Amino acid sequence: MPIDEVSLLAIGFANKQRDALDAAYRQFADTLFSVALAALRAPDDAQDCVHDAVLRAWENKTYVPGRGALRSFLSVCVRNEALSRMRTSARRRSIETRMLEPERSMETDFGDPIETARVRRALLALPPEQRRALELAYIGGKTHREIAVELGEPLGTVKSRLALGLRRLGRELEGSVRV
Amino acid sequence: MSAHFDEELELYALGALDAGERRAVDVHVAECETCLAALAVAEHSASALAELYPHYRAPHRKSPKAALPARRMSQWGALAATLLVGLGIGSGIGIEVFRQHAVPDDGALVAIAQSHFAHVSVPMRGTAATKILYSRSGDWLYVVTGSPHSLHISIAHAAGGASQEALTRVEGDAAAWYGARPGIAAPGTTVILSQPPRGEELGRVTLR
Repeated sequence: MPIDEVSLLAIGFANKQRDALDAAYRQFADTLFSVALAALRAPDDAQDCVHDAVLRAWENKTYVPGRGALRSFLSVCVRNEALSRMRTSARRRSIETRMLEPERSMETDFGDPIETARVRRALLALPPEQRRALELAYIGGKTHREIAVELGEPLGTVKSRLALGLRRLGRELEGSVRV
Repeated sequence: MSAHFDEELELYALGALDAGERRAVDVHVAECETCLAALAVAEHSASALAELYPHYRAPHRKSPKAALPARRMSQWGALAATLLVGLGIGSGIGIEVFRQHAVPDDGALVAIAQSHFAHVSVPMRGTAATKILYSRSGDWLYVVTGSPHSLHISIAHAAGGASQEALTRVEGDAAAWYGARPGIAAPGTTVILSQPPRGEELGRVTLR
């Protein structure tokens, strides 16, 4: 199978090549920054979070091509790092509340509205209890224990809803048409 | 190896595990290809949810700084350039190549300086001279070519198993790649250079 540029970037990152680090940082900067900013809200904190998470993944060689797309891997790395920082700081607020506060001073684009709509549709196709659990985890930044407390449901039930919900979301996205 | 993870992989991808639980998954997937593959699927789905966040432009797009301190890098870069010139590769492949791309970690040039190493020319088809430096202990190799074109590298080991793939980085009139891990340059290893992405073969050499 021919190796395309995306694969070469992933291979280079996995091999700890400096140019792959540079390229990955440039290519995914906006996505990773937006992911970190959603949790941390402060641009400086978000930039710092992206820097540390990407550099650590590269230095420690935690990415291997079998892990899937480098973009997805880094996105999860950055988000987990941002959530750790948010959870250990006293600055935690509801992300849902923060999302209502536009960052007027920052340069924005609004991503790909068609892709955003596609993800929204896939989310809406889930059973309500799975969708709610996913929203609390991904949008709300809550752990499974916190979700169980908030919903008053057993921990096992919440874990199942999260796992089944994400698997079904993946199938919905796979089956939906990209235009 | 511990038993496979199940729901924890989706929770990991969603950021719904605490730090200790996440570390347990990290440790496990480093050894378990089954769970690694399942985690890749979960991360792919979870990362799509980022579309629901507002999109912002990153204020800084500069890459993280490499761990190697600049002063030390320059010192070793000068040594390495001297080594290369001594090997007849020419001054076109100079300090900049080492500084930017031949130092993927801070042990690379130290390893070269402290190793007994060999070098071999790769007979190339229609491309500038290419040499491979490799340690006698077989734990690193360095591919450098005096051509302003990136080359795909495939490293096939005599013992079999999956080959290692890499891409040289162009800098000025040269390109280079450094790799280090036990056995990467073991006797019998074949290094194949080709047009990226892994197209026409340009040259190959088997290390002794």
